[in-house]
Amino acid sequence: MDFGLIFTNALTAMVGLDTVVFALAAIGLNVHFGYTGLLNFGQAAFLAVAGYGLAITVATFELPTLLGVVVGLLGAVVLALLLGAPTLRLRADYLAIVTIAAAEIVRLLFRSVSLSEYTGGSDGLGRFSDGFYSINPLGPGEYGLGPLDFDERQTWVLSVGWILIGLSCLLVFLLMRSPWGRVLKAIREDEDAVRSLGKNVFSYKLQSLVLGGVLGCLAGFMTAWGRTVVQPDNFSTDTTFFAYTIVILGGAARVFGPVVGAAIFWALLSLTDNLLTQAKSAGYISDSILTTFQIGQVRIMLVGLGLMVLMIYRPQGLFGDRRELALDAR
Amino acid sequence: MTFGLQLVPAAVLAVIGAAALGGVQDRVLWRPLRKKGTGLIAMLVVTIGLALLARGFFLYIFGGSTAPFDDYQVQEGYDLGPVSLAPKDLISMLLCIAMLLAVAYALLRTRIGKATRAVSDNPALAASSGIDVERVISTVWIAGAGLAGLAGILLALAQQVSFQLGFQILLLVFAGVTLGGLGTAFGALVGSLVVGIFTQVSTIFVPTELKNAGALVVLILILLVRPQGILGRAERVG
Repeated sequence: MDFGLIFTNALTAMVGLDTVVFALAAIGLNVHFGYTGLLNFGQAAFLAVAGYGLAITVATFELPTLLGVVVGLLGAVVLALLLGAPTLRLRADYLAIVTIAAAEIVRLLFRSVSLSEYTGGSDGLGRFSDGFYSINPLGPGEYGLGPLDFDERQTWVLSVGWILIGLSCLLVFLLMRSPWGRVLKAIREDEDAVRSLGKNVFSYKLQSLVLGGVLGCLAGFMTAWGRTVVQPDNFSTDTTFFAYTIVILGGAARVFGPVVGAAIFWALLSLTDNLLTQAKSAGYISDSILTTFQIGQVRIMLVGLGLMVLMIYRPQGLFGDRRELALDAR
Repeated sequence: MTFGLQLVPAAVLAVIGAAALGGVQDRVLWRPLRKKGTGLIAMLVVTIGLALLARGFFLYIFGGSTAPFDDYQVQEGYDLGPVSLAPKDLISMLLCIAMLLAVAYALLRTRIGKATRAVSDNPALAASSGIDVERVISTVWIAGAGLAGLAGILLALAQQVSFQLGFQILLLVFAGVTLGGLGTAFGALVGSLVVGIFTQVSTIFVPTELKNAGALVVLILILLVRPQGILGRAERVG
């Protein structure tokens, strides 16, 4: 077994596209769930609306990339308003049900045959990322640091992604130490108390939903450009659940929690995947226990088990503060 | 690995198995969490983890393909007026009606049913009036898991067995329960009937592939107008 390769792969996964996408999605979710206590189970819908907004504008209507980004951002804002307006006045669980339902509606719509003229159906859309790669300042070649090694396209995507992560973290940090952010945290702790102080709780929750949705939609752009294709099944509810695991792993209501969580999450998955694959090809595991196809299922099981164990034994995650997060909105 | 049992005894065993799993789950997982004072939202996240684990497990064991039950695959339909029904569908429907009546009777007339509604309303008050809350919750887990198991078998009889069987209807079940009114015993029934009939009838107007999306849109629209659901009590939050 080649442990050097296994660790190189894990390190690559720590800064790779999946980490970038899920860190951005989780930063948005952290604003919802960690800071405001909103149960958004439809974060995947924000990614999908952004990715498809971009792809449809550029690939189907042949408009410039910048306009595609604007369409994606507007789509995320509209989606947040649509989801929040009917549900944020109700008990916390209504938002959960409506968001998970909306995420499936969005995925089914993008998947449907009747709209495939615009969306490409279940195959999705490609040919929209030339605009993004044409402004790449890096010349062709290999770029890397130590054991990491990327070509110029990957380096460009990852650089943009990590810059976006940095800016998002800065934004969240500044907002959450402002009076506005303190109101959000107060809403998480006790909505009625905040209301009795004369704050418009509904409006604050809606603003939080929009902010987190817009941060999440950055993840949608990055996944679209990084894969150079958008497919409906990349935005399934599992995406949202992975993002939840990442938020809780890193520590909810912590600025860097989602970023650290995403890096550790994907490094661990890469580690187990590679260990199992190598152990299989070396013949340590027989086909009767685990076929190559089943390694992907082991990953889903591990995520599920990890989410349960974390939530039961360490709900504050690695870096969270248990006192700050008495997770029980009702 | 198969045992070659006929469908009916296998179904009985499966329902008993599901009920037992519900009981065990409550005993080893949820009861300790309740004792620890874990919040409802934290438990909600734990259930998502458990669902991912279970789905991955079924995919691991049985693979991603779908398969029908061996028995009763093709049946001659009875003509009942304008509709034609296969005997297995007729029996499924009769079984559903019988179970609905049984659950309704249990909730309204039996001691444990009344205790269940009391616990749902206010656990502390129920406990102080002498109801064994833990026993009620265990019973609800066992009965609920058994009913869910039966639903899985009937669904697989109408469609096919696959590891996604549960997740496919999970959102529609949510829609039904919310539509009827969260926390109302018969709301779930009324809401599910509305959702079920709506999804099937809506295929006249919308493409079949979007029928589930249509039902979820209706759920959101109804929440705008009547957030407490059809049978729910209006409750002001903010």
